[in-house]
Amino acid sequence: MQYSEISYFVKQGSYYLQGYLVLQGSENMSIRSQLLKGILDGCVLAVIEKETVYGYELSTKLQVAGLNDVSEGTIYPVLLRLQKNGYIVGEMRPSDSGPNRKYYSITTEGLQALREIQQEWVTVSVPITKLLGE
Amino acid sequence: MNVQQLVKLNNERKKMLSKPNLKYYEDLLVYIRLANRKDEQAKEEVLMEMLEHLIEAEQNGVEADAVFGKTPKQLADEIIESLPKEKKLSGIYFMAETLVLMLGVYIASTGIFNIILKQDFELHTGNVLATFGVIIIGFLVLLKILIGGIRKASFKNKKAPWLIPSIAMTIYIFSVSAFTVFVPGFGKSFTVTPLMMTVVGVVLLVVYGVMKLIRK
Repeated sequence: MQYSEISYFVKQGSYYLQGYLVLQGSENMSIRSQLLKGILDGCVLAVIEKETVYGYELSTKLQVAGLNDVSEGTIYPVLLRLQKNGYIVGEMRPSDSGPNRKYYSITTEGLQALREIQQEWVTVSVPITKLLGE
Repeated sequence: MNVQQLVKLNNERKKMLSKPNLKYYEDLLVYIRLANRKDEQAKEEVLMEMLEHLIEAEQNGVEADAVFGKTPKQLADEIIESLPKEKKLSGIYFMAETLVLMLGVYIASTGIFNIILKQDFELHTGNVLATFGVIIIGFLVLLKILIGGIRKASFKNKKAPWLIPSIAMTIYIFSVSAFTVFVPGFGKSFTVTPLMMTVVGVVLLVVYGVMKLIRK
């Protein structure tokens, strides 16, 4: 067995162990993922508002912005949800280098939702920063 | 691209993955494809997206579990939850299509066997209707079992995931057959030549072919 395969299986094992230990519900979910759960939709919308992107690009931009722990697995459920709600639309574009990519752009409803989220974020983040700060 | 084209492309592109990443992806894929009552097109699109994402990450030197940060099952569960529901018509359509196929094969083969035996059929309307009822109800029950059972069975039994569905199917066909043979005639009787039977069976098979074509 090659090293990469061994390390893969060891990592798989540890993830399965973690998964087994995680209780249903959010008690054992990492604090960061709990915090991000609510606001990640907003972050994704904000990135898409600035630029039409595809999945991999989106995760890179989030990582560059500093959210490097946001595993790329989390963005696909978010993208699906945002499409379901009509906040973004996906368009398949054939690319020259081969793979077809689905590019996402924000809709009018999405923009509206984003504005609301931005307002809500300002409203709560100020008092929270104060509360947690001292 | 429609579902069939996406599946075909997926099989092609999967080859680009390294062995451990391929294993991860295929676990993920089976879980998502087995999700009950979720839109097939959406499933295949998101599977395609994640495949390309994984390929790109691999080219940048990252491994699958680091990319997605969780087990295939955990990821699949989250994806499945966000997937849109299956379009109402397609679920029923798919079941009907399979039913037509099964009936067609059954009737056609019974007809052919009786042509060989040079026997005519004496059918009773009561039996015919009851048999149809049994076939259809049994089929629905079978589907329920399969859809519930396949998910669990496939993951416990990687070597022979077809085992439980095959057993269920065999029991089903066996029971229908037993019903046809052992239940005595009731209702008005009429005769059917084996030729007529074969024709009916073949017609059903043609209908099945048409249904499949319409789906494309």
